[in-house]
Amino acid sequence: MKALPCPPALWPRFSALLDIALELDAAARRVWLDSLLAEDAAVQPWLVAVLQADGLPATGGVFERLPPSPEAEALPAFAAGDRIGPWLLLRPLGSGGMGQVWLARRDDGAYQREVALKLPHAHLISGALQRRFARERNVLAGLVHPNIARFYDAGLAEQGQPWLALEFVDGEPIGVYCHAQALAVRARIELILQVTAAVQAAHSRLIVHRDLKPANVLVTAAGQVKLLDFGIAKLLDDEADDGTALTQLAGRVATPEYAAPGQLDGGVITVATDVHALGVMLYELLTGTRPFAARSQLARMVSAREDAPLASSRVARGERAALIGDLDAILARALEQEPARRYASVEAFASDLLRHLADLPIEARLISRRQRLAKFLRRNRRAVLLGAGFALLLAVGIAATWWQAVQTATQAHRAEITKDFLISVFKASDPRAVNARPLGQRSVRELLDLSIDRVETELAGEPDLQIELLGVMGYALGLSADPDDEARFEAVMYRRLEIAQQHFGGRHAVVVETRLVEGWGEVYYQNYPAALVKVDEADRLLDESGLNRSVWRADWWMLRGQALRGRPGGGAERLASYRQAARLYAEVAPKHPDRANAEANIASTLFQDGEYAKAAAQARQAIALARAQPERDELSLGVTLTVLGRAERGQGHIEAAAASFEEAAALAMHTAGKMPGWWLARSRQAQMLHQQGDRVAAAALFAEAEAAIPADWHKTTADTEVREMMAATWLAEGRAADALPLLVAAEPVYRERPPSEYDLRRLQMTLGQAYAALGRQDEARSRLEAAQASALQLLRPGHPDRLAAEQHWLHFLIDVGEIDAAVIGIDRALAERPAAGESLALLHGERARIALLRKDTGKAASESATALAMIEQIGATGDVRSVARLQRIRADVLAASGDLVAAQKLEDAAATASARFDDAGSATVRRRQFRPG
Amino acid sequence: MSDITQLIESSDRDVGVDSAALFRAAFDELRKLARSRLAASAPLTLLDTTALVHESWLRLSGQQTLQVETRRKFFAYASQVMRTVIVDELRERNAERRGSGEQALTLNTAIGDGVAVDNNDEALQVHEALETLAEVEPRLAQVVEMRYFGGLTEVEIGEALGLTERTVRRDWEKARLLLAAMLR
Repeated sequence: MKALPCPPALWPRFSALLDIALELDAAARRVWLDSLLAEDAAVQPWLVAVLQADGLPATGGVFERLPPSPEAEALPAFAAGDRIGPWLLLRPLGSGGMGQVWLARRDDGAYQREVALKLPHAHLISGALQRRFARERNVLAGLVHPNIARFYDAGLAEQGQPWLALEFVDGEPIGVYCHAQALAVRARIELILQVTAAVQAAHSRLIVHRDLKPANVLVTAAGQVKLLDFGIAKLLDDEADDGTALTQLAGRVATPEYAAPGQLDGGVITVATDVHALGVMLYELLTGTRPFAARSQLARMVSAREDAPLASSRVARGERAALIGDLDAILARALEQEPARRYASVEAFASDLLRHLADLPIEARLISRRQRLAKFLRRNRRAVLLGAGFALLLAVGIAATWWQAVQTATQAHRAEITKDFLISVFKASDPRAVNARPLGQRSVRELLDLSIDRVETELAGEPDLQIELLGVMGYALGLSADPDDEARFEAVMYRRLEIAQQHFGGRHAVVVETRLVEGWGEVYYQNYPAALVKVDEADRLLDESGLNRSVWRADWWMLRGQALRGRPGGGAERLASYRQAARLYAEVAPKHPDRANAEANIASTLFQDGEYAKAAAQARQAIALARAQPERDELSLGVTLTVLGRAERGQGHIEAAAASFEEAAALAMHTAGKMPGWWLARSRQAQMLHQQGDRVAAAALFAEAEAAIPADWHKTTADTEVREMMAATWLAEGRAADALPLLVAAEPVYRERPPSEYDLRRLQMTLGQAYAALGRQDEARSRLEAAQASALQLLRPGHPDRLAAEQHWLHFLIDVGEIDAAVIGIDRALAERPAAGESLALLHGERARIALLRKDTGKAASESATALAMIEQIGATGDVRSVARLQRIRADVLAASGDLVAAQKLEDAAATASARFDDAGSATVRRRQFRPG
Repeated sequence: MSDITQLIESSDRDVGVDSAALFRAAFDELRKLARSRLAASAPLTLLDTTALVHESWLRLSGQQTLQVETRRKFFAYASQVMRTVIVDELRERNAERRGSGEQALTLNTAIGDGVAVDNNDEALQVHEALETLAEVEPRLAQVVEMRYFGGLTEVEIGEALGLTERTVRRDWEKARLLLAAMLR
């Protein structure tokens, strides 16, 4: 960069004087230059230097006396100890386009406070300007707010030097502060909310800041925001003064990077200007970059409009989840080009931020869908012209072939082939090839953006083919794990719908499919009631369009099954739905990848119903089918393997289960990266390891899974599920106090957005145990009783979870001394003749405890022996800790009958096991003594 | 080259599909022509740049009816393209030939009227000085860009920027002075 021939601070005056000089001939110029001396001494040397280049000889004495020098830039017009009006200058704080700022103290002792004294260049403020200056100072003096650096006074010193005394703020610029404190997204937003409070206060007094930028926002050590520099504020109601020099000055001082569109060109300054600046500031705080690259005047002329890129696209992957959605929408709205489309007030902007923090729906979101579509269209109009991007397609290697095929595609089967081809790129993969990056993280955008608009333009006359191909691309985008692609997916799908409605009216498969896709979206976000509405709508459309024997109807059955996931007792209906889907796929599209998924969902439903053997067999069948498909859906395969692993685990086939979980995790990682599928597969594996007694390995896996969860994950409840599983293992090893907060946090989540009908019950069972372990009996009772009641009502007799819920409830009753109720309960449970298993063994243990309490040593002996034999026989299906628990009951029974040696032996075994499996602080680790020594 | 890509992207967005496609076509042609002339190792003169811009304009405007507005924007755009191409080319050359002592190509243009800065770095220096100047005097910088890199006349510049011929001339004089001081 070349240096300017004059310091920027002096530029306006310099430039104006140069204009005059250029109008004069050489002789007149010299006279004029000399005459300038008094008023413009600071500018003159620079002027002389530049004019020399015009061949003007530098002969005047003044030229020698004032040679241009770099030091002149600092122009020490003030020095420490100087007196300006009533102020004593202490030390300089900074300088800018307007002048200098000094730390100063009142010289006449009127008050002690140190202030920031702003000293605007005197020559910039003269004559009529001084009157305006005086008036603005009255307005500013009325502006008192805890987040605004207080304006104390202003005046003119003897030598005509204007001054403004402002509150001295000892703080860091907001950006520096956020970085230094490594603040989380939430804390950053809270800081911006302080800024908005200040700006709102100013707006209510009709003062617009118009130079809002991070450098003007300081944060004190106490975390309080202080807004500086309302010095260039413009009075909103003061139209008469438009165009005065102070206004012009203000316009020039405004910082281009933060200025709203139009502001620099002299557009009207309104509250929308500050809304824009706040948007830019928030964007910068969250992403570390400004939304709009600084552009030259020329670039702006050629390209007036630019949409800010989504904030989430500017941050590292790990932080994206926090920004995507609400914050993207809020920022997009604040940064709208058209002031009228921005938030109408700073208050509205702040309100959306507050709603976001409180997880309430925001205003900006309502319109964002339509805007996204508009953006999609704009973006692609541009992309049409980007022929260079075509090289990218070639680079990927397959797409060119694909496109060639599309161009010559006149027959449907041709399109079919191309479609399959493209999908295979994103979905299937060659297990022999080592992928450096998980497929889901590869940018499909590069590939697709370019193709999408070609579909729009080059196939304009062929809506059928357009719809087909947009569907393919949308599908591919839907598979991507990149959050950016989600919005694209939506846009493509809506565009496709538009084409379909335009050319075919409502009766087109695409209209149906859109309903289905929307339904799937609701299912993904676990909004089951909303999904069911889409199910009903699609049902009607399928009938009307005569599509009852098509893949869309099959997909509808799948959707229906999923939408019923939250319905209590809906297991039978779900199973029937998936079976219908599987049947229809087999009939109309035997090679459709969702056929295997339908089979997998049957397996999953069987598993939930406690039919582990059937579920495992069914899952294996689904996996075999999926693997035989020409096109492998590995994402779904991973999920199916998790189901298989859980079913195998339920059967006690630990090694098989471990292998299934391992493969599931690998596939999840391979397809979508460390996304929910992977967290859950890892957690299930951890859960199983923990039940086997390996708490160290389990903790490591849980830590790995939990570390992958974005801090602000909100799309599904997978994060809660992971933490619930982890907390359950803590509880099992005797860390109830650690587990409790996580379990308590999960309860409202499952109440409002249950992943399935089974989750709340299971959680209540665990939570009840945690409360009981901590002696909070009332809370324990309500959870355990609710879990037991709902299990009895909704789970079939013989369901393992039904027996488990009963056992935990009865255990609690015994603990609190309600023995009679417990006896009735146990008898009722055993009357159902439950299959052997962990819960049944424990139930016999409870019986032994009751017998012991009732001094019925014979019964206690037989029940405890039964329990112990049973738990040892079933081996690995349960938690290893149950063995120790039953050993201790048996030890009590033996001790009661006088066999202290045998009792101690069992106690020793139990304590040794507990020491290995449980937390050092757990009561189970303590070895009880039945006999002395 | 990233400048160029941005340039196209940003211009395309604004001018609507038809003229954007046109600009894109013009861009390729401008770049091709400029590069071939530069590659010939002969000095690229003002005449050449003018010819390039006008030639491509004529060819393009022959293809479809274009509005006055488009023509205005085109000249500004073409000048910017020329600037980018020339600067890129010179930087590349400099990098290749650094230390070889070989005489590089010369860009001899009107700015040399009073200030002879006739060496291979001149265009680069003007480019850098313009970047600085654009921060405080964007209009002056643009006038220089159109005249120096685009080879346009004062009338054409005035038309494109909506200024009188006299203002353009004054701007040019002022900019010339400032640049001369900056290049010293």
